[in-house]
Amino acid sequence: MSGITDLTGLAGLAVAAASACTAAPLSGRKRAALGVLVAILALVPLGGLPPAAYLRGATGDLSITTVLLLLRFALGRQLGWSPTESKERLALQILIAGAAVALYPLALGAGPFDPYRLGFGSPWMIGALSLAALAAWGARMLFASLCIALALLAWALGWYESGNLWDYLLDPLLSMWAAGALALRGARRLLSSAAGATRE
Amino acid sequence: MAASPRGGALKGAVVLGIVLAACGAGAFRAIGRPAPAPFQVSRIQEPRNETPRMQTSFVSTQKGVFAHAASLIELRDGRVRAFWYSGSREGARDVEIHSAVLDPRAGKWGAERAVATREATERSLERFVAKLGNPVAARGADGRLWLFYVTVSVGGWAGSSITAISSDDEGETWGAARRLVTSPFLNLSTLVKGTPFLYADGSLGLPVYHEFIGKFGEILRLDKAGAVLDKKRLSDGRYSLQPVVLVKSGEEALAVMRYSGSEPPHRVIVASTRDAGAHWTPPAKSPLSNPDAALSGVVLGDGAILVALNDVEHDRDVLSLAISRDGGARWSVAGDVENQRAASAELLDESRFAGIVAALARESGAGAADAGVIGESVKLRSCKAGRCGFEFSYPYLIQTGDGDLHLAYTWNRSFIKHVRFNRAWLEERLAKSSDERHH
Repeated sequence: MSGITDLTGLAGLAVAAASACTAAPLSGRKRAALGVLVAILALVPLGGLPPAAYLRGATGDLSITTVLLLLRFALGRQLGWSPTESKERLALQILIAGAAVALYPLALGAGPFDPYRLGFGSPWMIGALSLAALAAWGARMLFASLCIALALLAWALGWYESGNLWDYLLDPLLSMWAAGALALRGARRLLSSAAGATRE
Repeated sequence: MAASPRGGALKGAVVLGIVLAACGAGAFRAIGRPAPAPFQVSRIQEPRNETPRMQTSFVSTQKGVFAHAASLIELRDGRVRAFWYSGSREGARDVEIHSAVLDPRAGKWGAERAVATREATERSLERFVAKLGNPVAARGADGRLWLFYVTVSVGGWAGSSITAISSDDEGETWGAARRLVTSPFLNLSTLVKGTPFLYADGSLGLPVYHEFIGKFGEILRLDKAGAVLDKKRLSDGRYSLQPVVLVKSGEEALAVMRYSGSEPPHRVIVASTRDAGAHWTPPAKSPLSNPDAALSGVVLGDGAILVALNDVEHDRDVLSLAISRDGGARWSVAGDVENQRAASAELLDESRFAGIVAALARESGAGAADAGVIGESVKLRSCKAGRCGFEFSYPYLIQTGDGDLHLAYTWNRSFIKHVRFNRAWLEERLAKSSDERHH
């Protein structure tokens, strides 16, 4: 029998699969239909487990930040929203990549300090995140502010099977996206400055 | 599509409302977090003036399988339930968690049956599971029986996470499985082996270990529903595994760990706390040897610490008992429960090996007919290219309410063996031993 946190975990992965489909070169209505169909198929048991459960075995539950980014991407395309401002996207990517670099190696044993422990309800971590969400709101980075706030809220409500706040903020796929985007951005800047130097 | 100034203000107000609600909810959950608690001390006073007593038997009965990593727990009626994993080989997809119950009056183990399978775990967890591993049993403060076992979805043992099931009828039936999330990177690499213990507030301490980037021990603190409240490292680096926490008082405990490093001498790793686990001393090598193998222990009625271990620096063909009466500084080795070092040195061929195993099986309580089959069964698993080796490993030691000590361990990777003895037998062995070690 599935628990609530299994359903929320599987739903997050179904959203991810559906969002990926909205990149398909189809008209708006067909794209929406494909997204809904994929989300449903991801949750239909095949040979005992739904496809989303196989994915879940490998990736774990997706962080709230990942789900929000995917939803924004999918719904934004569908509803014609303007993309997140590049300044805000860059701030999010720096925050995510920085947090991942600080968290993963140390939590897996690269040093004596375990930052993952802070995620089990450290008042310092909750205070710092609250300030970060308010600071992002003050800087008019509403989406970044919403990501932090909803992750904190979902953790407080026990949305996923994890009781650790880090798992609501961050996941390895999200970290790879942020690190990859930053690396790409850095490479582009290097290339354009090299091209500029050649022209001079 | 640009938002109107009014729409923008409304959006900002909604987000601010969500941010403030999240800050409040986060603070509320953090405030509600249980405070640190002292260890719960449970000592069993052994009866005085007993005659020395020791008996051995086999817990597992299936032949031709790989049986490993036993765990024991006393049931409310004084019987003892064992758990171990069993399958065609370590890490195979057909590995199941098996269980059997000892009737202490008859001195006989009941039928072996599966209590957790890969398929049932997978269905219950709503995620793909590739294989099962070490089980460890615990008694919650509310009396519920818990079973924690290793599950792997991707990769080898470094990809492990812990699954928990619980039972309200002493292990006859089990509830739905839940996964403990204990690591941020895909929840990789947390395993169980050491005996769980209780804190005074009813929360459960579960010793665990990692073997991915680092090899180190940790303690998870779980609430009565099995949710992770906190975790604390016992060690770091790449050399300590499978911690066992030996509670000496409400504030004091000694943790002993398997040494998995390459630097000699190969010794049991120890760390201690004087503030109920808030801080642990840096891990250090003890006088006890360790060939990169699991160990187990209990604190006896008078506070002496008894451990079962492979007290040798290489191989697992000797299994011993060692006792410390001063909290872990000096150790006296109470002799060997198993010792086939001399036979191992002879480079046995398959038929001689099977003969010795059959003789050992008879001594261990197997019937004459069974002993021959056991010899052949072990030969298939323990001999490669004509060379055979003994293995007595992964001990698990508990003390039951009647003062008796129960030791279960992997017997030649094919069976789980049980040794039951009393304090008088242990003291008799110690009196004959002159092997004393200290730092």
